[in-house]
Amino acid sequence: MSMPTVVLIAGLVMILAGCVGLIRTHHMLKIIIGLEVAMKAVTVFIILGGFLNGRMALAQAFVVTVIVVEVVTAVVLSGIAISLYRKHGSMDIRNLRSLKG
Amino acid sequence: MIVAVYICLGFMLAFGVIAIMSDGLITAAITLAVTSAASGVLMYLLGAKWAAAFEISVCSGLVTVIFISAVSLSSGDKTKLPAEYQDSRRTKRLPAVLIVAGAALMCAAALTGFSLPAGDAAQTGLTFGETLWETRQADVWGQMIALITGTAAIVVFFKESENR
Repeated sequence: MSMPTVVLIAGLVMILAGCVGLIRTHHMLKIIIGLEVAMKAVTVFIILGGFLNGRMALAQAFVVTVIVVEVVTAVVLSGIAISLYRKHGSMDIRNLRSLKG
Repeated sequence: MIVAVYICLGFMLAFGVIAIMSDGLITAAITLAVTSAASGVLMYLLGAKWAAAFEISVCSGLVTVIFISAVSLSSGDKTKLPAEYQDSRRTKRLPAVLIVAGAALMCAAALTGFSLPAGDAAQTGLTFGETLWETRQADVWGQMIALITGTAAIVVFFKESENR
């Protein structure tokens, strides 16, 4: 089995791990961490694509965009988590059900 | 090089799983930083030097600082969190699930004869700088808009909290 195939399988397993993290926890920050873990695999997939087809510069340009989006997502979700904590005294995502509007 | 790629892949996967399974938020944030660092080294080994630098500095550094700031801004008693959320109990079957999933994918690839090419294709086209600034200008504008949106969202959240 070639090295890129092993990287592909490991990345798919990592996305599965991130999805389990998203589903199985109720803590907002742990949910963001699950999302980040899955995003790591996605960035590695993009680089793997560039490695395989010889267009690494394009792959790196995409990865920079993905990293910026990842950071903005983490910042905004952390802001929501802190707002949730200030309102309910807990970062439990089930508290979001009480939102209206 | 292939051995180094496998080692980085192993670190990335192992620390990613620890980040998800750990009860402590600081432990999770630090293991996520190690996951990012391992993926950065993996990118470097695959030839993506600029992306590796971004990954290590931004994802391994900045995102960890954001998480630790978020943890410190929530001033409650962190020792009660494991009992409250029970993340390690709720995800205790995760390693077994991942091993089974990985083995199933490997078996499926072996049975169907699926294999990606070995890689090392000759790198063609423009450099990273030329690609980013000349052919992907829309991406740069999109990144700026995303950053401004994120900043505006944070300002609104904290303004609302102060008003309340």
